[in-house]
Amino acid sequence: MAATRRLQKELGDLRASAMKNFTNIQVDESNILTWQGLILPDNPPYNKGAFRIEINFPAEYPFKPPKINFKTKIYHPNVDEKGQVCLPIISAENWKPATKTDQVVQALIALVNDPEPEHPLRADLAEEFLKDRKKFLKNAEEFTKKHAEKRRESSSSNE
Amino acid sequence: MPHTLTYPMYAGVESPQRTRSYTWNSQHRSASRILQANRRPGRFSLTEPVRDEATHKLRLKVIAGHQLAKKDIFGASDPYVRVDLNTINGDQIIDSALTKTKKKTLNPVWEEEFIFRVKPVEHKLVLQVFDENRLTRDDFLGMVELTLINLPKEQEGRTIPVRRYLLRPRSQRSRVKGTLEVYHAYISDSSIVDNDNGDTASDSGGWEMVQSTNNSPEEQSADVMFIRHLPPGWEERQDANGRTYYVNHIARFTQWEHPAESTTSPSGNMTVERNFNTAVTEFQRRFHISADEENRHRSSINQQFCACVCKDGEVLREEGEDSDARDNEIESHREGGSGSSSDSGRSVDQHGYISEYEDQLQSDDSVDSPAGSRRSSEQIESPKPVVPAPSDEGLPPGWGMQIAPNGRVFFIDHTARTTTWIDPRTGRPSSIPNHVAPSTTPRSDLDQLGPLPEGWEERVHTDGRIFFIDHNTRTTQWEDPRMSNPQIAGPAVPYSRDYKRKYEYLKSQLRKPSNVPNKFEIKVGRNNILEDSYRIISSVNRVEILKTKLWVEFEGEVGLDYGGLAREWFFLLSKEMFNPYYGLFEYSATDNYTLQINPFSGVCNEEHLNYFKFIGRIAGMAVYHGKLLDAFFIRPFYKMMLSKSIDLKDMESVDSEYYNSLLWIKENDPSELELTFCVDEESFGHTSQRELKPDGANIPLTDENKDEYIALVIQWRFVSRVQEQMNAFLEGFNALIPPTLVKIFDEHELELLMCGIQHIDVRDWKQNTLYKGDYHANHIVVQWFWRVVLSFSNEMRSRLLQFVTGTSRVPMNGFKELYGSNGPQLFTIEKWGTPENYPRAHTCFNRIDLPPYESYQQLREKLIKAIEGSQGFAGVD
Repeated sequence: MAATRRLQKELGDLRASAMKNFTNIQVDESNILTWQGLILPDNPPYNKGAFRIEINFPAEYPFKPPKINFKTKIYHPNVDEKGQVCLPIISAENWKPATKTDQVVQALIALVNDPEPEHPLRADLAEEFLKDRKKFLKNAEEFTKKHAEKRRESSSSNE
Repeated sequence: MPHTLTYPMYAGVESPQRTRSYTWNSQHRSASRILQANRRPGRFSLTEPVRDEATHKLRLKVIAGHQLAKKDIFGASDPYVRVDLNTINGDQIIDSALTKTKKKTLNPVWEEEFIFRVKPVEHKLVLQVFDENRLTRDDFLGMVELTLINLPKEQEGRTIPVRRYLLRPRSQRSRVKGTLEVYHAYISDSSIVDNDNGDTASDSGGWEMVQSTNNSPEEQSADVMFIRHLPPGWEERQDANGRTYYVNHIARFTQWEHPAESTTSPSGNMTVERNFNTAVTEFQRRFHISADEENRHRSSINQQFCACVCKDGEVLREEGEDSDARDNEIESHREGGSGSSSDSGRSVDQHGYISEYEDQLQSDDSVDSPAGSRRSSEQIESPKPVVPAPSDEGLPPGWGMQIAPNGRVFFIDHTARTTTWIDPRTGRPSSIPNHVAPSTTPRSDLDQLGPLPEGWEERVHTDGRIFFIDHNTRTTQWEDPRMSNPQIAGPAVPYSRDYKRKYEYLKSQLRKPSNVPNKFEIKVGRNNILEDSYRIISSVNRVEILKTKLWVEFEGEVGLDYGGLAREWFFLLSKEMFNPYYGLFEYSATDNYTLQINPFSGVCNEEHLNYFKFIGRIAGMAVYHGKLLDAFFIRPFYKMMLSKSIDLKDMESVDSEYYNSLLWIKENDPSELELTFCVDEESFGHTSQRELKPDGANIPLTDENKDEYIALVIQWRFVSRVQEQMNAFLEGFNALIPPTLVKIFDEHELELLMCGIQHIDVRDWKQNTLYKGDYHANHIVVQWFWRVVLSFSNEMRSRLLQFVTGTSRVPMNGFKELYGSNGPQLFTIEKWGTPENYPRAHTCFNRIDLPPYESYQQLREKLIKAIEGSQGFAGVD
């Protein structure tokens, strides 16, 4: 099957490569179209925790892009209260069937590390980010401590 | 003197008929031929506006309506007034405002005040009264056009009387009655100065709205008429002899006496109201192609009030507007505010009931049927003036009559060598016949778009139509030569002209059945409309019977067909049979609300093929009877109906993501995708595999075989998996409309034929909108936003919708079902940025980021720039 075959291959490649910033990839055997995993951003204020994301692949994958949702609450200008994120690489206009899931995840982590306040989903956070970075970092750090998952031993080597 | 000297008529245009019903009648022209022939531009520049570019603030109070026409089935209307500030030339809408809707009354009291910033010479106000409908398009109840010259100015100590205007029809078909009571006056200059200095927002904003500040105008005008309210369920009618009688629709009897105002509360019809509420609002979303045109031009048809200024700024007649108003009041007295001139042709049966099924259908203002579209196109081509034709009979010696370039009659005193608008016989100024003036004809949009080609001339035919003379080739034609200039006319619209011709042809070919009963009864329950209709329609063996007059009755409702029941039946049935909930049809993509046949319809419904045949019959009946289906289908659906092949391009309009991926495959080497000639199908959570060709699962996709792959995917996606259903649908459809006739249309035209055009309902849109940031529904910027949307044409609304949501279509059940990329997501407006920014959109989340602009005008300009700057408007697909 088109989607299944491709996803199994991608999953195998991902697990084999053992990315440091995307771990604990879980896939329900009965439904390969939904993945979960932890992203571990490098930059403060998000480098203190792990954030669970869910990737949903459509049945028409790779003709249609996957969708990404944060399961962990995150204080970020580009992620809304429901965990939705607008990621250009998987937007309808930009999607290419050749795009691989690891590229998508890396793009997501890059966005978390370096917010784009020019294209915010939460205008209030974007404003704070631009006008009062100190306050933003403080809030985001507290939010991370409160909501984010703990990083495991294997990933504690991250600064 | 033969008129041909001044008005050459070449082959192709019938020679002018010598009717006396038009102001530009050639006889009149030839009477003063010498003047006409000698006319040079500038000599009679009567239409040149004065050089007063200044704007003035106009206070308009919409006070009340009296004895409006009854449009609702249950005896009342829900009237509101739409106020448009239009340009006199071309009828472009500058601003719009709406009053609140008053429920269940024919004598609404609005008491709402608006302030417009107007240019008196260039603008006019158009007040249109509508009956708000939940189920159908809002009904037109009448209109008043006001020119803005000679309106009184507010001064301390001066009492400006309230005026009452007779409501006018906007077309031959309008059935209007009653009057509209308004107050209008300029706000004195000193206040303008104050405002200009102090209030930048309103300065550039154009207008502002003030809720009714004055509930009791100081003085009622002297001509207030005695108004007698009718109880709910009653209607006032006139019989063939012009006598007024009263119909009780609830108890079904008639009487001569006016029924006493009963104590029934206005909420007496709550059940009905609830019924209407439960039904969806977007019946009014659908209309035939010409309706838009009619709406755009309707206000130019019945210019009634006139007052004009001649070239040096001298007001020709101070009280021109006043005297006109008086005329109307006189007229309204004469008519007694009851009945309407189009009431003829009805008959009263033995129950005192009035047979007006056909009449109702024919005179429905909502223009929903192809018949309506045909009519309105006729109206556009040959507008019939309401104003009686002026004649030069009885003019004093030495006087002549002429037509100004704008079509208005003026009078020449050859003895004194002067001209005047005032008719020396009556002492009243001539009216501005906007409906006949070339600058306000339906094609006025072209008139503002550059001159005619070299050697061409535009003329008005005696019946009001405009024709064009090519002096180079000595030929005449009806079509504006600028039409063929794509730079002026814009990209060719494939249907507009051809479609009408084809539709005429179709109608001429659809013969009335013979040897059949005279009507076909369809008795259904509203709650069971799909099953009931399926049972009734499917059991018909002789298809001819479905071509007879449809007699629709809803169970438990008074069986009086006002003509709209068949239309309502098609509408309500469409909502059911195409509803994705039933699994027969589905949305083509999550961000695209066009429908396609559900390839797995058989899983939901064993009888699905019988249902598709039934749906085909319904679609055929809709076309046959000139009704519309409330649905839109993907382009390939129409192409399959026409047995046309479907290609990659068709995918684009259906599912842009899928299209992009196929396009990528077409343009790149797809071998790295590790795909095979095999696709996944998901149905009800189960994914299964479908080979595109034998052993496809083992044939890898390569750069060499990718074209075959794309063709097979398209074939599978659109054709093979729904072929059975489509065949059943066509079996039903073609039984009423033979394939040879359907095939005169192309796929775009077929959509117009079956489904009309989508009208975007701003009310529904606004009701289903969320606000974020500091915005809320009553925030001034948000209010401006909706005013801008309201002032937009349907096309601009579509473009705005597409700018924000990525699709120009509205979901089947209205804006409450709008989807974002992650599921249901209402339209959202969020405060963001500064007034220097342009609005921007997040199509993933149906969200527009709207900066807090400082004025209406600024918001409007920025929004339009943002919409037009965004790439790729895909049209109405």
